[in-house]
Amino acid sequence: MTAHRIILVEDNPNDREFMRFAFTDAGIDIEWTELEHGQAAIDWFDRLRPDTSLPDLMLLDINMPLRDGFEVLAHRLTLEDPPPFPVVVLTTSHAPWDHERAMELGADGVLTKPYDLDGLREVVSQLRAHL
Amino acid sequence: MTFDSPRITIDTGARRAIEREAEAHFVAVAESLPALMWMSGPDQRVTWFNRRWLEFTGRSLAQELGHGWTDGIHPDDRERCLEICAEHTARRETFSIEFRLRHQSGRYRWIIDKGAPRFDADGTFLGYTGGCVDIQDRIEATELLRRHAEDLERYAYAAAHDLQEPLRGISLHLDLVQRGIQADDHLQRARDAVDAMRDRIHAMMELTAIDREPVPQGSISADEALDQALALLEERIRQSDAVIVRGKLPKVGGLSNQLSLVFENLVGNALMHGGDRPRVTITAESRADRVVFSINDSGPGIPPERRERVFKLFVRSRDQEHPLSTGLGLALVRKVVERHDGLAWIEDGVDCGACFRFSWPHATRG
Repeated sequence: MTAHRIILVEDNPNDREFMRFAFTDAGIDIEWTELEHGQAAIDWFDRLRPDTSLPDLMLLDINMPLRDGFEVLAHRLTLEDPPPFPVVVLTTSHAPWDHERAMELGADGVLTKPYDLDGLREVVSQLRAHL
Repeated sequence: MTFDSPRITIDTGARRAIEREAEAHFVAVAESLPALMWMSGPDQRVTWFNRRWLEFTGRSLAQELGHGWTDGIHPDDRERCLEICAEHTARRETFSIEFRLRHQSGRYRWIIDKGAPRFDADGTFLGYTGGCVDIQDRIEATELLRRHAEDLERYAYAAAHDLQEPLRGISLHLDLVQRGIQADDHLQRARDAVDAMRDRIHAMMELTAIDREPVPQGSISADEALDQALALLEERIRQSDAVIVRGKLPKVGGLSNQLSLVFENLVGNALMHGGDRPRVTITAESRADRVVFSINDSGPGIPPERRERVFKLFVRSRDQEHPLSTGLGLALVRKVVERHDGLAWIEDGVDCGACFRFSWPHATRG
């Protein structure tokens, strides 16, 4: 079975590592592309060409430098032909208005960042549905 | 029942005498009140202002009488104000209007003006009597309170969010330690996260302490304030192999410890974002009403549309995971500077990087 491809937009190196660890721990082989801030994600969307091979999923943090996750979602909405892979927001925020805003901006799901390994495993099982 | 005419004549005369006495009494009272008072005739033309009114507007009685006083109404309030006056006069009703009136200083101040119709004993309309109270201070205080409440709400939300992040890291690292997964590594990183959290809490406490100390008159040495800041940053300057270039700084006003805090945060910010071997230049320029300090770094600079944002609480301009970034430093800078009636802003750096500038009061005697 070939590896799934995930673009991880996350500025916090700990969180990037936790995410890689969680998928490895669950025995899921992932080919990761890591972008460290919102601007990098916006640039990635702008560089998309018809022959670009698309990932299976984009995991997007909200609170990031340069451009935040909301700005990335808003930018995706302005694209003439948005690429058809899901974008799931992964945020520290528990605030319902942040979750609602992400959904209004077209996120395919919003998950709160976990506090422990069980939470991490739960996140992976939810993300699996999008792969 | 009928009255004979001589009796009416006497009564009318006595009534007029009483009315004159009452009017004199009213004027005496009106002159002693702190309110701005006025009286108008049935044609809406004002026939009398008290001394307080004239002191407030800084104009003569002759200038203010009739419709002259309406020159002092703020252009944006004028139409609304005169409309309300006319409507209420037509119906002979009391009114209350809030509008801006030009003060003798040239500035407009909000006042509340209440007017009540006057009638003689026969019920004939004589005009209005009114009094105004200056409510500018109240309006400013309310506005300040509203802004503080907003800041506080934002602060509480952002603080909760921002403390959650390291806490979540600590919790996850410790969970992995407990399960024996790369225990040593995760233990060390949990410790690092604890340090980051402690720094964040320390910065939050500094931010709340700024308002407590009153800003005195006098003179302090900006050079000494910078020395103090650089002493605190010594280790970081050494580690990053930074070059600090400083011009001669003047004597200024304000609080030395707070100026030092501004330098510490701006130089610290320049070290953090200045790239390899950062070069930080600190200069001052004396302008007519303020001293303007500049802290120029050698980093990639900040695009104009992002410049206002970095002064907000818990916003990190770039390199968010820098262990020394609390997201509070620049908010703290702005708060201290504004408390000294100054401004803090960002321009393009002289050769490269970003140039953080802030204005600060001159030294005063006393």
